[in-house]
Amino acid sequence: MRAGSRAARDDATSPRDSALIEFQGVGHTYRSILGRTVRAVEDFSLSIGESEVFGLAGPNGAGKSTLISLLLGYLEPTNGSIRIAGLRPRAFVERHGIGYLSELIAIPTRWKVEDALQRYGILAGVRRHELAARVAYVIELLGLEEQLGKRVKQLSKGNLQRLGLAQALLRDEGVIILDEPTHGLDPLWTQVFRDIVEALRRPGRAIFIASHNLDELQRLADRVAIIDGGRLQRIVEPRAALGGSTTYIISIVGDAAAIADVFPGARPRGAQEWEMPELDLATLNAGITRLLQRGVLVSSLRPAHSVLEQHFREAVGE
Amino acid sequence: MSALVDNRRAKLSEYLPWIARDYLTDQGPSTAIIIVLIALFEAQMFRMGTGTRLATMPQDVAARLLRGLAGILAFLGTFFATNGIVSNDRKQGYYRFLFAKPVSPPSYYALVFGMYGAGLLVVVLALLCVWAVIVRPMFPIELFGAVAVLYLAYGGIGFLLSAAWRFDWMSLVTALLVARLCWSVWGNATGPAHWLLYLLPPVHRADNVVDIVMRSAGTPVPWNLIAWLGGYGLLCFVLGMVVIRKRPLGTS
Repeated sequence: MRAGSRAARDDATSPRDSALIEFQGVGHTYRSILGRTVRAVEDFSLSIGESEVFGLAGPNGAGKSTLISLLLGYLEPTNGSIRIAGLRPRAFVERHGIGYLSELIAIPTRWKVEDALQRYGILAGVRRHELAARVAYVIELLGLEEQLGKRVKQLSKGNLQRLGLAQALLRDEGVIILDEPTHGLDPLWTQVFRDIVEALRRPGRAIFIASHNLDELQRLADRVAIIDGGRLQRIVEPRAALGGSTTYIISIVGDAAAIADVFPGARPRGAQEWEMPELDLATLNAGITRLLQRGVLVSSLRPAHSVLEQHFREAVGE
Repeated sequence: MSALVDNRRAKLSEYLPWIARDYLTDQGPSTAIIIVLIALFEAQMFRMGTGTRLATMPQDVAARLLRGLAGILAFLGTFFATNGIVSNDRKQGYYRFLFAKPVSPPSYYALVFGMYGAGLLVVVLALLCVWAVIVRPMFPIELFGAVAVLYLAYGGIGFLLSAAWRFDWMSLVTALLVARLCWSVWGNATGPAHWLLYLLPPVHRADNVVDIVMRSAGTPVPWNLIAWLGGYGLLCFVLGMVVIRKRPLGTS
């Protein structure tokens, strides 16, 4: 990593509020019985604030799942240390619990949906007198009413995903980890999921979301770490980055020649649609004003790539 | 920090009925069905050999038959109960949701082990009730004791193997066979090699423990054997708990 980007990374690895989760120089190497090794995570340092929605993005095999397993204490770091509220992950989980949705939903297939929620509720530490109400709450929240009598093996992928999310929300946890949370959800339930995460946001709760869906992270996360090859490549604050330079796609109605005059370097993409060169917001707005003055109407304007997508492409070298 | 204030571990005692339900709907019926099938086979052999109906079977013959079944029941019941007791959760990935909760894995598995043992005793009682209807009422309290000791002996070893790796049933059967073989070949040997045998499970003495089922009046209870077998199993169980604590859950 270049010196400049390292300096930027060091600054961005700290949250704005006090840290709840801290990775310090964490590495993890898988070893087979035959002695072969695979380095999954390397020199990973990061702090996550106690009221933060934090995203984790990376290509397949980047080390996301390993990082989550380390955070839950399912694996031990080969190097470095991880602390959650000052405790080792396993100690934290056994004392407080974590609301966790894994990428692969593994629930015994013979369990019925309602039984599964009752069981996980007890194990989550929900008290007996609150259990029925908490189970009813997550059933309604995730729309599982019609699935209650079904066995887990009878559920569709989407319903299984909703059951997984429901069990993660049974208790009012201080740390929530969601691994590919919208995998298998239809667009309606994807939107419901986003609303749920927004509603979960509160002081004193850290939410950690790992996803391939950059649009989702762009909308939900305060900061997003991009990892590749087991290393932290950069941390992006999607909302703060919105003001930066980017390329836009513009569609107009009117004199097409005006585009070339106002935005030199714009490339046509289709009927009345152009991809503009990289622009900052001030230049973009000045150009649009000039277009309007020349009687051209702008029918649509959107970034060619989201800010996060742009960072992602740069970080993983695509 | 709210995450710290909200310190609320799970009450595993409230989860006990679910563990009992798992056993009584899964391993329990399997055990009972296999034992009933074996009993029917043996009863048929008896009828063919003597021409006598089961209900009129002499008391000593019924006791011998029961004793034979007790040994099989203790072994198979324990085998079914502890096979995959830990490794299955790792293999299937069930640990992910289970242990993201405020639950200690060693406590959880200790509870499962204990509850499955209690479940096996319930199966023993149910089978004795069937025996009472078909053959004659016999409820020797020693049968429960023998099954409990052998559950601890075989089950403790099975528990350790299941905690250690995924090939638990295969390695349990291998360990028991190798131990029996070694004890039968070198059991009477002298010298340092003889003492190495004590590292192996004393399963060659399991039959002596099962014999208490048809113990005649005045015959002493073999407490030393019970302590040896039970102690060996208990030690393995404790080692299994250590392995669960030390071995990361995410490794299979």
